[in-house]
Amino acid sequence: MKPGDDMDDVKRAYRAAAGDGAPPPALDDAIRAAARRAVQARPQPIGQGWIGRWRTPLSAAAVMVLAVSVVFVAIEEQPEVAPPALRDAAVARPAQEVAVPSLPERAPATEKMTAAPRRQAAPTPAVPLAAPREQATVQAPTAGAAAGSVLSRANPSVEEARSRQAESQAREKSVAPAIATRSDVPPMPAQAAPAPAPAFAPPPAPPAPAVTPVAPVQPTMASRVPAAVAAPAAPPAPVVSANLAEAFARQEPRAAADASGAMAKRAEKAEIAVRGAAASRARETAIAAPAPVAVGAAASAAAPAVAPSAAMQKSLAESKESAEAWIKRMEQLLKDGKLKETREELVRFRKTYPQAVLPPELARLPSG
Amino acid sequence: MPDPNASRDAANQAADADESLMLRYQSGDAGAFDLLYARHRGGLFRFITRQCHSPAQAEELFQEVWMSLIQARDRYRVEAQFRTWLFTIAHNKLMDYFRRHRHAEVKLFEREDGDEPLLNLVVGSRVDEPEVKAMSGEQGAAILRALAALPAPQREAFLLYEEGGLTIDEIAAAAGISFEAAKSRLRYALAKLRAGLQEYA
Repeated sequence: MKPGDDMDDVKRAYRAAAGDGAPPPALDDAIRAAARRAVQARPQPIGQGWIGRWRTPLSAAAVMVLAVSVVFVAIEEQPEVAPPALRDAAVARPAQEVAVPSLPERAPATEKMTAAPRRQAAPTPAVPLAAPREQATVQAPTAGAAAGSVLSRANPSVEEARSRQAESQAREKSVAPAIATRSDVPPMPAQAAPAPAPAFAPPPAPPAPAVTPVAPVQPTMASRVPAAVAAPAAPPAPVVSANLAEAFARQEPRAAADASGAMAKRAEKAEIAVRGAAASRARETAIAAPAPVAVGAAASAAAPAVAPSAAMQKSLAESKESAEAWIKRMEQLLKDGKLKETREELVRFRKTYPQAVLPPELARLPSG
Repeated sequence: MPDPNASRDAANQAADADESLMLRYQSGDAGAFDLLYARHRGGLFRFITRQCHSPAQAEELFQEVWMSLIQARDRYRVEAQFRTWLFTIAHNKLMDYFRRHRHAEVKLFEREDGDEPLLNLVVGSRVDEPEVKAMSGEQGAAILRALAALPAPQREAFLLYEEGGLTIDEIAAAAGISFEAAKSRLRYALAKLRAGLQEYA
């Protein structure tokens, strides 16, 4: 828009009056020189404008692409790491396949045990022990608990063994016939059990003699633990030492009289060595892989904190158990007069095998 | 048939347009800056001198405007005419100058029409100022006197129109006001200048 033509006289008058007002030449030279200096001081290549203009968007785009790629890679790798429950189940399955068939054979020997400890003992590695070590097997949950305490505390297992010594002396008369068959356990005086007290001076004694009596424990544990977690073999050693203390505590007075001092020292050294090695292994494992250690220790100790894991393993084992074996076990429970346990087993059996045909005595059993 | 000479002239004009020269200077061509400076030095200098009554201050402001342009050459984008950009820088420098020296002028710039209150016109018009009185006598001096007597925003609008060659849209952009305000300021300025011419003719 332009103002009206009636204002042309004003413009003409201004043009005539304004003249050619211009800055002084010195000022012109100063400004031109400054302009040249600015250009010469930082010559700009032609491409720099383009680079400068696209630098920020390109950087932002690159960062976004990188972030999205990382997220996708993480999502793709996640299923390999995510489900620890399935991994535990996969680990526990072979152990259960080994342990479960021994259950019916063991049942008569463990009549005096309550159902709950036996269920906890099922996933523990001490279950498939040989018949002569039945007594040690019966004590496996306790020994496992002692082993768990060894992992967290160095000495309490010894003290626990001491306290259990007095308890076992009172009890040993009732189980004396069973213990009398233990010819492979070296006789030890009852006073020798507290000997492992100086646990903080582990002499480099070969642990083989001490481990020998309960050697089958280790392969069982190894079969339970995955290859990557094989390092935390620490739990078995405390089990061994606890079993030793338990076994030593159960010696008859007659056997204690036969024990020689050399034997006592050797066993003491061996136990100390085993305990020291177990403690060092536990420390290394705790540093290297805390999670597997927790799993292994928990499984071996059968502590209440890991009860879900044991229950899960039990259920997995039961799902593997054949219907016939299950029915036989329930019949056995029924014969033993354990109605409540039979009912519980029956409920679980019906959930697992809803189409299975039950024998008449089990079918007549009221479910409620 | 189109005239080849006419098309060649148009191409040269486009190549020598202010914006192209500024882009060339941005790329490092110091000669392009010389051309730009030669085109706009007179108009810009008068634009500043007519508003800043001290010649020394006017030269300082003039130099500041060009130095600001030199320093800001990397940020220049062809979004408007070069002269609009140049006079926008000059307007901002003048506003800083007014803030430092004449606060009353700044308040006038905040008014829509840029006019002074009626009381000021009656009581404190610049017609009585000595420098304005010294210019009176002939027509040229009369228009200059009338110009000096204008309120600063109206004077700026007229100078942007006359010295900068800006349209009302460009005046609005350079002064940072609305189109209607720029139009109003320019209309008031022309009317007062005409009245001054007739009065002192």
